[in-house]
Amino acid sequence: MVIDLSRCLGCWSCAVGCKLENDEPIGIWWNRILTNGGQEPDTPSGDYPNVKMTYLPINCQHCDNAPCVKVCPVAALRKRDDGIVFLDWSRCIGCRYCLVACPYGIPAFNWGPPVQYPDNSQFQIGNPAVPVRPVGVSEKCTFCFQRVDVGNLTPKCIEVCPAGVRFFGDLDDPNSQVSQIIQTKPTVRLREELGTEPSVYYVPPRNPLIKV
Amino acid sequence: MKSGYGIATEDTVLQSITRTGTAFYVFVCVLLVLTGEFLYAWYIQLTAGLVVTGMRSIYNAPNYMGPYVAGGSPWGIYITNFIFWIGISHAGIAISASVRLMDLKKYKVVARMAEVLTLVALPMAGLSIVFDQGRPDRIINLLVYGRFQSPMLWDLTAITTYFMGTIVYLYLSLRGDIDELAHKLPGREWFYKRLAMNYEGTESEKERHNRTLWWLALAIVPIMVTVHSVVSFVFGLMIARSSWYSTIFAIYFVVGAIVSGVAAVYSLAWIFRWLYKWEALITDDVLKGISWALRNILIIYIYLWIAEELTTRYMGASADLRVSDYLWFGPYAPIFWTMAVVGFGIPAIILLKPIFGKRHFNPGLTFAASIILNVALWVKRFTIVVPSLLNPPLYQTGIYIPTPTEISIMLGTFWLAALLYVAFIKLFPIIDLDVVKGE
Repeated sequence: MVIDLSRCLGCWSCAVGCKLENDEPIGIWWNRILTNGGQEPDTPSGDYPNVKMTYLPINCQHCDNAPCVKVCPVAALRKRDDGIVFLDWSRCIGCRYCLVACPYGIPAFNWGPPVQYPDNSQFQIGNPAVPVRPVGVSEKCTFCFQRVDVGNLTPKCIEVCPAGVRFFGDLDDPNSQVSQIIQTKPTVRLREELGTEPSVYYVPPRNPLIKV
Repeated sequence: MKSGYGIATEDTVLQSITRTGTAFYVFVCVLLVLTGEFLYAWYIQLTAGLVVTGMRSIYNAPNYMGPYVAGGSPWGIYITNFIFWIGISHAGIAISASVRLMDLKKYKVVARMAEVLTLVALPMAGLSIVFDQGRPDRIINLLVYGRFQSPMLWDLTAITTYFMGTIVYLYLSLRGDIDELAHKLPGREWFYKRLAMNYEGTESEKERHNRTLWWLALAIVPIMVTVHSVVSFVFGLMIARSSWYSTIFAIYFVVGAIVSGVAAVYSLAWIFRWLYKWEALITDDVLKGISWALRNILIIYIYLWIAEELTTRYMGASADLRVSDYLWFGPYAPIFWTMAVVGFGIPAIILLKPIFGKRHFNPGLTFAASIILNVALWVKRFTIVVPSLLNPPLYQTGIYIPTPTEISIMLGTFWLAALLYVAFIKLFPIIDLDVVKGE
């Protein structure tokens, strides 16, 4: 996936679309938009009047050398041949080692019984292909593999983004759109120095991204 | 009977089994009530999920999305407790094994109580991990799907090996005594006879037992080092967590565990001596010997600690420095500084004092130091685990405060451990009978 930060408006559409598609319970977002200034959304960085506002949409980086897959004691976290890292809810024992190992703070845990608003019992909101998550397991972004596997759909965050920030494709194929962008534009990956080899590339904003 | 032990006979040792006063029943009743409270708290957690604890995901979705959204620490006092119990378990069998390997006859008197401490502490460590799981019902998956890629599996392997080794070791060293008890206490003969499994007590049998125990002791010492090293690897190998990711962690943890274990053995020896008036058995000399070992290990631990802090504070990587700042000046600063000054400083002074004159050794004061040290080491493990998790590199997250339910469950391991220990001393002699026989 390539995320072009120079286009991002910080509208949270990807986060909301993702939440609906994947039935994420209250308190869990697989996709979040960080701002450089602070904890709350839309916090500018810098001292007035020299302030900047940049957004950093963050979801699972689907690392090639994924720390979470490495530490999972029961192989509930696995890597598919196409590079997608996913979490098997029927196997997870809830030790939360993946939360501890992830350098990006991505996996989230179902501390209590998952609650969805609106409730799925009234009408189906999420994708029916997403299994029902039990209490006491971790969860994280799957690049919507239920959509990617069926036909040629892209992850939901790409479909709902109004600014065309995100691009999805095969990084091994030099002719794919994502490979083309990586070849033509400068890109960075988050915390590359850790050697996790993330599969998500960021195109920096025109005002250079401050410290990711 | 050796003259060095004064008037101590087998009956002196066996009074821990035969003499049962009112205070004992009161003590057990209090423990049972507390255990009941713990079971109730655990029931709440099992039915409601881990949401009843203070732990939260590393996360910073905006606060206005709901009360549980802001981030926190995914590991808390259960993991702290796990490290603590592994640490306690450490010295037990290690002391006993070194007594055998290095032929330190003087300390044989505390060997058994140390072994039992290991035996009691290891299940408590395991239990702490069970509390921590979101799905304790699936814990069997560790055996079904377990893979050795994960440090958690190393833990599982090392700890179960250690536990099995301890059981076999304890049984073999206890077998002669059990056989003896079958003669001494006719009322319980049926029980001891079965447990002794046809032990005859011939010279060749004793010799065989001693030889096996020697080899077991030789195997157990490296296992003991492994156990706490792999516990440290659970943390020290995580490149994502600043202030964890360092080479020193394995050594640091092993030394810390030995401090905690030796302190616990000292506390126990002192308690038994005071309880059963065993001054003739557990002499001042023995206590002083243990306290000297404790002092030396404590000095090494403080030295490692200072080296670690200095590396971070002098020119540390910004992320490490952030965790360190959080610890020194952040919300956990009060417990951190209390732990450092009261928890380590005061015991260090008490333990170092006898260097300047032997008459300065005070068994009671040293007992206080050993208890303070163990509390401080518990807190120390907390300050290793939590602040690093609360300072993820990309953003800051919330704070971790354990809930009363969580604390009840954590304390439950202490009540259970005490109950198990008490059950042991009412069934078996807590001092090797060979000691009073002078063998």
